[in-house]
Amino acid sequence: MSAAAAAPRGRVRMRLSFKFALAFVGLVSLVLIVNGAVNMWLSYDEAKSSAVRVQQEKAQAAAERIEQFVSEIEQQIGWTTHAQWSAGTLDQRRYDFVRLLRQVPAITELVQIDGSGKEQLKVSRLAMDVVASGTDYSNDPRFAKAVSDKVWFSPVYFRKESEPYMTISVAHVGRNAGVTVAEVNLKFIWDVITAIKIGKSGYAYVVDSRGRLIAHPDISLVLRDTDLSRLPQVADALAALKTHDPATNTAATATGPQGASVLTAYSAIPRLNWLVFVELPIREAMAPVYTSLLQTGALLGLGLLLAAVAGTLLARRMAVPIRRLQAGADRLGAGELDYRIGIRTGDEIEVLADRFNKMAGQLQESHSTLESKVEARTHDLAESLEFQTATAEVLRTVASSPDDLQSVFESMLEKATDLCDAQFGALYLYDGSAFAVAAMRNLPATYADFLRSQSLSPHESSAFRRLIETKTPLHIADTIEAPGYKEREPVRVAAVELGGVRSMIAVPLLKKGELVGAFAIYRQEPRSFAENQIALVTTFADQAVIAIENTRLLGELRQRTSELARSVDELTATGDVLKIISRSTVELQTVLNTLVETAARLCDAHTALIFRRRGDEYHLAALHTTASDMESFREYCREHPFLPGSGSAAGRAALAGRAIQIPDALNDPDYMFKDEPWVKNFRTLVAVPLFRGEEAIGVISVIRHAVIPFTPKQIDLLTTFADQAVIAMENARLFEELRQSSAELARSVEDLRALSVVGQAVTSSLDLRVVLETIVARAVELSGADGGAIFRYRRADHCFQLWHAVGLEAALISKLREMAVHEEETELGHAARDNVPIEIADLATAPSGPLRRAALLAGYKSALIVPLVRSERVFGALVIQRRAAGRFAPSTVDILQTFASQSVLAIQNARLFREIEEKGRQLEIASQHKSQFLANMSHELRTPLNAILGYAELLVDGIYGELSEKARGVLERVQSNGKHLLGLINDVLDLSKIEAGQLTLTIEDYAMPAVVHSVVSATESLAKAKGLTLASAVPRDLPLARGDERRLTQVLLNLLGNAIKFTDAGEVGISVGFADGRFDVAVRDTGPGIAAADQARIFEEFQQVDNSNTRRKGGTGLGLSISKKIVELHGGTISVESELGKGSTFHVVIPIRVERKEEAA
Amino acid sequence: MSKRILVIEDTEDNRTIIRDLLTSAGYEMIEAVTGEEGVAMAAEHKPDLILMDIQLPVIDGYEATRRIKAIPELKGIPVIAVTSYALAGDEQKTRDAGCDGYVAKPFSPRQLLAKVREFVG
Repeated sequence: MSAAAAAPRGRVRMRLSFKFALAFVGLVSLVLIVNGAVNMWLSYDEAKSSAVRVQQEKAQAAAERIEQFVSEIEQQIGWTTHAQWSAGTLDQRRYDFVRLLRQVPAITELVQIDGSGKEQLKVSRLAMDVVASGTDYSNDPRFAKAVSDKVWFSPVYFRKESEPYMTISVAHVGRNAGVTVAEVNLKFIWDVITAIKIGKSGYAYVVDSRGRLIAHPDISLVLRDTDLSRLPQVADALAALKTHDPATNTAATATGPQGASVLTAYSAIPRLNWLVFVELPIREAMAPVYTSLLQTGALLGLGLLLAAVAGTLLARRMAVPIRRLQAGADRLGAGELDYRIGIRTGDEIEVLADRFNKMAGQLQESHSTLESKVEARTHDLAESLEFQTATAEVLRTVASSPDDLQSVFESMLEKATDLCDAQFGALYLYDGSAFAVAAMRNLPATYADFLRSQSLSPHESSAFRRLIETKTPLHIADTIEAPGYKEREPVRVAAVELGGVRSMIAVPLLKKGELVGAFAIYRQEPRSFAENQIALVTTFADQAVIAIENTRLLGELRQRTSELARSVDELTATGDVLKIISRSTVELQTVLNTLVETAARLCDAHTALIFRRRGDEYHLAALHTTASDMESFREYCREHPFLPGSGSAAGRAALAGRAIQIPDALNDPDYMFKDEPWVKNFRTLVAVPLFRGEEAIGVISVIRHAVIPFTPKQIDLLTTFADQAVIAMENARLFEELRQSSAELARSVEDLRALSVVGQAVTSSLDLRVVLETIVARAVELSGADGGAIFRYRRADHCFQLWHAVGLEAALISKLREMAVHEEETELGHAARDNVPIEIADLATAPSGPLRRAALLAGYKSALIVPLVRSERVFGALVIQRRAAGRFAPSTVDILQTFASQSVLAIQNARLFREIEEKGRQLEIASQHKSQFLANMSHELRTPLNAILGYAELLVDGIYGELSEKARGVLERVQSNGKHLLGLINDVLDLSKIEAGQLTLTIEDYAMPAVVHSVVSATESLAKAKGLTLASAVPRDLPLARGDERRLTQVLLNLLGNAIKFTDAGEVGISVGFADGRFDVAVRDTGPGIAAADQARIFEEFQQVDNSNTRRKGGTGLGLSISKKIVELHGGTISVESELGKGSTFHVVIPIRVERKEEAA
Repeated sequence: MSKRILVIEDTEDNRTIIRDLLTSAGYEMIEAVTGEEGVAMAAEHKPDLILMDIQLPVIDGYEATRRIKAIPELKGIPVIAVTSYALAGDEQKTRDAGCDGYVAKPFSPRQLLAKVREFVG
């Protein structure tokens, strides 16, 4: 089989039949395995639980039997414990014991012990009876435990290493009645255990409470006193027994005493604390399960086998036709197109095979037609390939030698003649009137000479004429028969007769439809050229045109390139200039020098100049010349600025505002410098004006010393240089402006800073000396002066005197201090009089005065005087001095004037401050005097008042004898007026102390209820006298307060007193509330009320609502004012709520605890 | 035996009022006009009570009280300051000087009598 056929088969990774078989087997085995696994799991669990259940029951039964056995023995012994039994005779008891031994074979020995633990009787199957041996059992557990627990079961023990025994002791009924001890053979338990049969190899065993083996089918294990407490199931069971937890009494898999894996279950004998275990080897318990597992496995194997066989058979049946189809397809693919696939299955595979067969038929058919077509096409292709190759070669020639047109033409002619089976050929160029031969190939010498010797006019009926007229290829199969030869057209005749031409093709060379030449090939026999040969020649003709065009373009390109190279040079130079411009913004001169130098070089000029306009004149700014004496020429140019005018190229350019060329200066009628020594060499000149916007700012000019006019390009270049010069100048100007404004800005900042320092000094310091020193120091520093001073003006004698100086020499200062210069004698006075700054640029030349002489002597040359004047009042003058002569900058004058006003301000401030201080001091003294006066007055007034009030009271009290009713009345008036006077005196005193700040609080703890109580009791009688109800409401839980109790009492007394005084009917009341650490004491009345407008006023001094009322009611009008001050001293507030006709309520709100002692009101 | 009260007071009217008051109440009264005289009288008569004015010529009531209280056998005699210094702190000043009681001027004779009775019954 071929490799091609094998390839697709190789791609079959897995046979179809194998896949089918695999799927079958997989499905069947999955079902079987799942089913088997579920069955197994269920049956295993069931088998295990049922086995365990059986074991559990067996264990239970055995446990019950053993317990019953022990209980019976216990009961049997029991009747020997009754009191009447112990009372019987010894023989009687012995007889009973013997009877008991007989009745209960398991008991081998009985012992009776009396209440004191002494053995009374012992009856045994194995030994002689013993009576009253007196053996002491009192410390034996058989006695002790029985007495304490009534019944005692001993641990199991072995007698003669062969039989298990246990002692059962039972206490007798009654106090200290004794014990019966029975030794019991436990072989019976063995019988029970051995009788238990479970399966083939199941067994049971008993362990006691400590895990020791008591009974086991294998006696030897028991006799070896085996300890099983370490077996997990035993340990668990013992633990459960201890905790009395029956829930754990379940079975599980474990390891048996012999070390085999077992299912185990147990039951406890609670009375004895024994455990009966029933165990069955797992292997046996699970035997049915294992059998069923085997069956399932076998079933699974069978199923798998069947599935595999069925799958394979089914798959094979299906795969056979498919494989046949595949084989057929392989053969068809290999090219056996006449093969047909034979499948008759009648299903989709047969349809598929038919399709394959049909396709093969169609393929076979198209295959045969294709072959003949290919053959024909191959021939065509071979020919055109030849032409193509030729064309390609020609093209290559055209491309490779663009400047060798001749060889291109020759190569074309060679290919054309070779391919078209022609003897020779020629290429002609047409210049619009005649043809000329440009290239020849194999031309017979005479004919060639003919063609070369003359220009070939397109005669009537010539081939050339045809070409001009039709511009289409011309094919002449026989030159003798064709028109031309007969008409004796000279070229045709020459062709026939000199070249022997009998047939030919001539193709026009057309460039954009214009005839530019002809391509011709010739045969020396009359034979037609084929159509494709004509086409080939036409192609060659087109190629020739392209070659001609290429050559022309190449020439132009070369020319352009050389021009471009020159432009690049120029651009580079311009770039250099620009670079310099941008690099040296400041050094304008460098830029201009570079510009003239570059302009001269690039314009091939001897000399280049730049002039700048200053006013109307144009001055030399930069010069470059190749002449030897450049410096003297420069000097000449400097001295001869020009004006715009027609006399020079630059003048004309400036005048015209555009580029001007003077081609030959000597022949220019207007040119003025023909005879000037420096200028007479100038022959050709160009000048271009420099414009900034609309404004001409200069001229750039280039000059040749020979008459060679500058090209437009050079003039353009010069214009570019002109623009650059403008840019450079502009840059320099802007830079200069920027520098200046920066400097100004810096200066302003400096000024502002100085001003702020001075301002600060003025506002922050009231010390005039500090302020003035600051001002002078700043003024000196800012103006760059060497020293400065402030002079004070004395109004008394109209003299100036030194006040403060900075930077001046000590000698000069002391000299100046001694001087008092009259205002008429100094510029200081003039400056002050006119209120203008005076600048003395040179002290030496100014009129002499005493101050100036001193300054001159100290070496100062210039001074600036700024007067200190405000509101036409002269305070003095600020002076700064320099050691150098010269004017001061205007900005310095400005800033000094500002300083001067600051100084005036400071002086005024200082004086005002002084005055205020003085006034304050005076006021303080006056206030002290007043307070003292008031204190004295108060005392002095009190003394006589004491006498008045004292006598009056003694009189009223009848000390001096009984008085008449009238006299008593008068005396009471005296008393009341005296008391009022006393109140007035007290109030005035208080107020004066408050005003003097002398009223101080005595801060102590106090109780608000006590204060209110004292106030109420003091005013009670007053209220009663007026028929008013006096109510007071004081909460019981008021906190302890702190403040001046006496003063607060005074306040409340005043308020409540007022309330009573101004109320004629109704009720007055006082109440206390507290919140947020404050008391709110309210005093209310039903009096006339206070108008809103008056409410604020009443707390002012000497104010009462209604003066007439006051007179009627008495009072100084000071009470509320004093109260307010006292409350405020406490850090509280006093306020009133009132409405006319509806009474008033005064609120005193004070902190409950005033900690800080208020010093002054 | 009636109680003897020394009154040191420079104002005639006040002395008269106190005298009239005390004698009518059954007390015996002796009088001094200056502080020094008062101290001497106290030493000489050893009264049961002293009423002391504070603003006195030469030595004031504070000083006089201090001197009296400095004499051991007079130390026990109560001294009541009767003064027109009625400002805050004045009472404390009299206490500091050694006074046992304080009555502010202008006094009410009834109040003064009540105060006297506090000390001498």
